[in-house]
Amino acid sequence: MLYRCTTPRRLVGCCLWAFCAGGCTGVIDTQGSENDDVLQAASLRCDNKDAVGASSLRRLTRTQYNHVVRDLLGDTRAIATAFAPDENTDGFFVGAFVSPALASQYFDAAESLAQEADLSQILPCDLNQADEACAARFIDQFGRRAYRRPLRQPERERLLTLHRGSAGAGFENAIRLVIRATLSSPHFLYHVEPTPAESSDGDVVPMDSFAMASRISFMLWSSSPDDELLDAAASGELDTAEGVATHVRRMLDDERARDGVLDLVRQWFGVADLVALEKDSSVYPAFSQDIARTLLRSFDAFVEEVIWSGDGSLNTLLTGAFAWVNEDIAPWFGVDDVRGPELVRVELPPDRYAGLLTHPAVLAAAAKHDQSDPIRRGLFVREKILCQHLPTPPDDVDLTVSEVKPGASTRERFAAHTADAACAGCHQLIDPIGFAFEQFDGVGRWRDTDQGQPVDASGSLTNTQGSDVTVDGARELAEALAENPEVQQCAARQFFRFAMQRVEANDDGCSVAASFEKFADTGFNIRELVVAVSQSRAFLHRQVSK
Amino acid sequence: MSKSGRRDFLYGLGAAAAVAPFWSVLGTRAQTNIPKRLLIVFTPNGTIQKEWFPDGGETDFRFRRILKPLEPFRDRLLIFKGLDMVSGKSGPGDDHQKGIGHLLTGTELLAGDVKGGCEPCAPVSWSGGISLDQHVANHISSDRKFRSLELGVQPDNIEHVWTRMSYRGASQPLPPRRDPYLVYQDVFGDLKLDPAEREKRRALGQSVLDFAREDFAALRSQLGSEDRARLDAHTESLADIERRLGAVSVGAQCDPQGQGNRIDIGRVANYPAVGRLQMDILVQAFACDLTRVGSLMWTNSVGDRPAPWLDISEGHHSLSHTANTSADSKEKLIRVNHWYAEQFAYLLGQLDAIREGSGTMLDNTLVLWGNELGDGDDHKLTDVPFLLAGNVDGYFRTGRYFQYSNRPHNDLLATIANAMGAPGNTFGKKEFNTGLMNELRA
Repeated sequence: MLYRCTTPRRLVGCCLWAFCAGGCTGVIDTQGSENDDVLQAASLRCDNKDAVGASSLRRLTRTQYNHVVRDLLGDTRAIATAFAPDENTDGFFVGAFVSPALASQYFDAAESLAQEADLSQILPCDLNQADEACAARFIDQFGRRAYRRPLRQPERERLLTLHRGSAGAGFENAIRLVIRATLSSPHFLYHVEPTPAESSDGDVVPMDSFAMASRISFMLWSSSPDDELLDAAASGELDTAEGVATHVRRMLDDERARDGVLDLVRQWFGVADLVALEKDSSVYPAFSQDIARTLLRSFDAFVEEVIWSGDGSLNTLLTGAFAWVNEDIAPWFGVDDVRGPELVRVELPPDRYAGLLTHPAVLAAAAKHDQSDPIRRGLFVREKILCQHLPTPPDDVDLTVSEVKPGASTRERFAAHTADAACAGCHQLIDPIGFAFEQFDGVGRWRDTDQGQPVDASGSLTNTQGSDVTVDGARELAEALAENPEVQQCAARQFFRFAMQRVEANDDGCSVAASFEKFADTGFNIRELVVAVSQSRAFLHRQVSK
Repeated sequence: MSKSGRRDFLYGLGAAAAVAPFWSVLGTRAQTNIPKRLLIVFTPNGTIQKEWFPDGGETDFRFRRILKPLEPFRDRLLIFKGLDMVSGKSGPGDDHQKGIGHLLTGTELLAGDVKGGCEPCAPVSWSGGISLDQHVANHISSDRKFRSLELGVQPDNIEHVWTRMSYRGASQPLPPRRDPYLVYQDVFGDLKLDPAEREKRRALGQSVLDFAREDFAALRSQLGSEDRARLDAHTESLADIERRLGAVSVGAQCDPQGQGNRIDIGRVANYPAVGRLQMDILVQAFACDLTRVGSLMWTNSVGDRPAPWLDISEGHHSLSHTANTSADSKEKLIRVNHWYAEQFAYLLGQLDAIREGSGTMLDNTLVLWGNELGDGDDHKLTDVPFLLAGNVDGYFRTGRYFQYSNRPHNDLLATIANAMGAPGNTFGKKEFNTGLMNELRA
């Protein structure tokens, strides 16, 4: 069998399969219509305006934990990065299960965070004049930030009792114990979204005001609400859609919104773990962890410019012909007159480059360790940019690495899929997209030749809601994608998934559709999409589960 | 490689002598009641069956190339041919997913709200039941400092079904711990504390746990049933933490030595060294009686590490798919699997080096070596290579090779559970069992 495929050396949430026979139509018909059933993600059907999909209990993800303790205690050096990894729902990390290992990591982290906390920064009184009144004030303030809501009377009492009980060991130690206990509570570790006691299973109820505050802040900041947002929750401002919109706009302008939105876009484009990416140093000696880190900063800078100082449009995100580079990564963009370690903005040749879709961070992540990878890149576009799902390849498919051969271009070596009838069904959907990226090598650098042959980057985009197009190179492909209705809908889905920390269900059809319509009305402005998701019924409500 | 790895990490015996007084403070138990232990080792991507399965019959079997390194332990082994993951015909998932998910649970994978697969893989969640090691741990290790230890050698640091083989229960996968340096600290670090300091820490930790438990209980009553199950798993872990805080009695042969320098656990070149360190830790954790159940995962299902120390630059999984079409790939896979057999022999040797009662620790330990596939090239869940080492204090008559025909691996899981003192005629999903393997008994 000639099917060629690989799993990347480091499995970053994704494997690379050869898609053969499986669920795709064996041989694609000329219209491509048979495959449409397989490919298209459930369309945005709005059947029941009142319905809202069910949300499971989520814990803090590692990223959220890092941000939350930073905002509570100051920096603390990304302690959660060493925790057991988070679960994955269609591309986004969520916190679902707490394994014994993670429980123990939570316990130990609470101990060391409490021990190392700089009390002078968080106590409402001078440590030398501390008394029980100070402890009580601290418990109220700290507890409210840690639990993302005011403490209830019994909770306050219990923390005070804990403080009193260990006051013999000194005020400071007693405060540290309070911090430790607070950080060990499920009210700190989980996103608790209370529903009224008198509600029944399946009811759709308005979000609790403080849980609403958390939804907003974790969507935008990947962190806890600030005091202002908690005050707004307390005064009932977040009980209306307008109140929510006001705070979403305020918080989008805050520096911390970079945390949330970058977290989202990084995961969306598959670069969240870029720093851990390993490349074959004999093939790509210039690539290193430092380069990966700088490429990620460059990725972030591009996203920040588009969303916060640029036109904010999805189109620019996918096609903008500029980049942020320093002297280390300038060669990655074919730029040679940049000096120094600071990132500076450069214009790129608009016939070659197209926003995030040709950013080397993205294309290096979507590649093998020693070569480019048309399949992985084609799949990335189908799955992440179009939100389409392909079936898995059959179990017995030969997934062998397609080894680099001198004189044979990647395209030639990958041609087997589409030549073989058993593979063609799926691979005609994947490869013509992936081939359009062939002008970028395995670490995302422009190339004119591959193994001594001129690069052939012709490809096509078919089986979408847009019209079929043939393209020559990634730039043309990106332009087609940027105007494709399915891509625009997919963007709305991605923001919805991140905000809700789950994949949309059928019951969310109207919520996603409504977000999409507002997104479309604003010319596909990403900032407005964020606001629109916050205005959806699913975001403002919760389905009760008993 | 092995020696330098060890020096990187564990100090010599001199350091052990220096901490000896603390052991005596804690008190070592007399060797009257020797515990049973279970250790599970996983290596990925199937094997080259022709070179794995021995020639010959039940007692006159002769090793072929891959298992040659186990020659010194020939009389301590039970080797099996013809064990299939019959469960693999049921439930969602591709063969790698089913293979690893069913391996120790003997039951099907579930669908769920989190994806347990690689992105374009079948959208499965986690296994639908408890794994053998955890089932046994509930019976023999629940009073130990650690109910069990799950260690891994460069498994991908991501939550999906390929990277997990141990389950506390349905949808409760246990991540293997990856960094021997941190594992060492966690397992042995506090043994050196003096009793007063230990008691102080225990009391503080206890007050935190008590506080948290009240919150968990109150929150539980507000949740729906599915969320409640997740929270309960977390609450159960608090009891594990509580036990860990308490004083521990350590085994007579406890000698974890000192902790050396940290090594980069991500580098492919360090793979053998990380493996040695994790095996050393497991053996010492048994010797110290800090746990009685452990597992070691070499990478994960579909693990695709190359083996530069064998001059093999292709990834293991990639190679496995040309085993039947390329003589070169086949030869490399034989060498990779032979190397794994060497590692397994090292582990047995370490267990066998510790005197215990009238024999060695290996005599009181059952070591299971399994894989998620049989033939790696065609992804078959038939003729999966399984073997056992150790006779569990005379429970099994070892030194034998059993050749079955399509016997479900559930039977082996159930038989092991019984040997370890966890009775029951079946393990995993009932319909995949055909009966205990009493022919293995002494």
